Amino acid sequence: MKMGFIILLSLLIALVVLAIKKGDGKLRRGLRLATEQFVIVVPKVIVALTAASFIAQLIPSNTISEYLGADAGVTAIFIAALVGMCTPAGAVIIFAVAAVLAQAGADVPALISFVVGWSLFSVQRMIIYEASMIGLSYIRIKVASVFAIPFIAGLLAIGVKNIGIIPALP
Amino acid sequence: MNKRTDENVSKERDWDHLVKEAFSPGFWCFALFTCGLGFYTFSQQGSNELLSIAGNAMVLVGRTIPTVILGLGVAGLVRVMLPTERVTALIGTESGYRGLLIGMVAGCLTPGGPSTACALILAMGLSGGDRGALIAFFSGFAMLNIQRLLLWELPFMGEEFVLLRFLICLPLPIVAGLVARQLPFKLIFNSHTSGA
Repeated sequence: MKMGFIILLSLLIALVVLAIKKGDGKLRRGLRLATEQFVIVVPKVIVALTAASFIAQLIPSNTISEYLGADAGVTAIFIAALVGMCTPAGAVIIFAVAAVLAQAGADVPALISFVVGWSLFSVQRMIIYEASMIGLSYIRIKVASVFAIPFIAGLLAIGVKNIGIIPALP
Repeated sequence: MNKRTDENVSKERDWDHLVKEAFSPGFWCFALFTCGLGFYTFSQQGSNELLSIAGNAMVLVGRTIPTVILGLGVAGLVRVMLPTERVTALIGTESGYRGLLIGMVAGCLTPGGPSTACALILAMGLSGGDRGALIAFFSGFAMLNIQRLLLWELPFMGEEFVLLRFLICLPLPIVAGLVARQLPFKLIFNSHTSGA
């Protein structure tokens, strides 16, 4: 986790310097935006992580590792992709769930399928934004174009894992 | 040129409004659901287990929040400084693989939530953008968006997972765009909302 923190910190410092150079109140506006988001997001983070922890405890962890663990192989990819595609939640909840699933023994390829499935299909976004703003014919083309992608991503991840590349989870 | 975006971005909300948004009905439903889970855990496994799970969750929160704070700072500053309109104006003017690539990169960089992305897709579509590029933009936004990656995925999943997932997904928007070009479906946009 330390490395991620360092990356973000250096990025933030670079952006602050850039914003000060540009002047024009950009630094103040950017930080104000960040503070606003912070107020909105922190209660959600707390509740989402708590809920995800309870859920992981209630689902016996051998169930999670049986269906989403390394031994489940390709089956895990399909289950994870489908669950991700059908989960109506925002980013906070999704990544809280993914983090807790990881702790409970879910395998990396399954987690990748889950995250990718959610990111492409996000039911909430489809109903609230895509259907009303862009149109149903766009949704049809989108769904048909990206349907296979969560599965492809998971299979690629299995391939990468077989070469021996396994990321450490926090 | 970017005046409208600037005005949108700089529109500051007062605290009452923010608190209302933070503690929305949706939030309370979710909180209630969480309490229900807690109660169920208590009834099944007793108070010790309940406290230990809640304690673990708070440790997780404590580990996550500092990174989220940095991520929010980065996202806020990027949003104020990146000329989104100039990036997306490129899409639809290029075809072939180049068009798909530009769409993907733009999706990857576009800050903001789904409302911003959808408004851009609609605008690009109405101005005659190629459907492959639109889908590449959407897929790039959904899978590879840097803001979401730094803000949410990194704090929860760690840098090694994020990097691996990013690299695995990197070619996939191009694949989606190529598939979209082959589809026989008609693409009709909601023109009445074009002002959005």
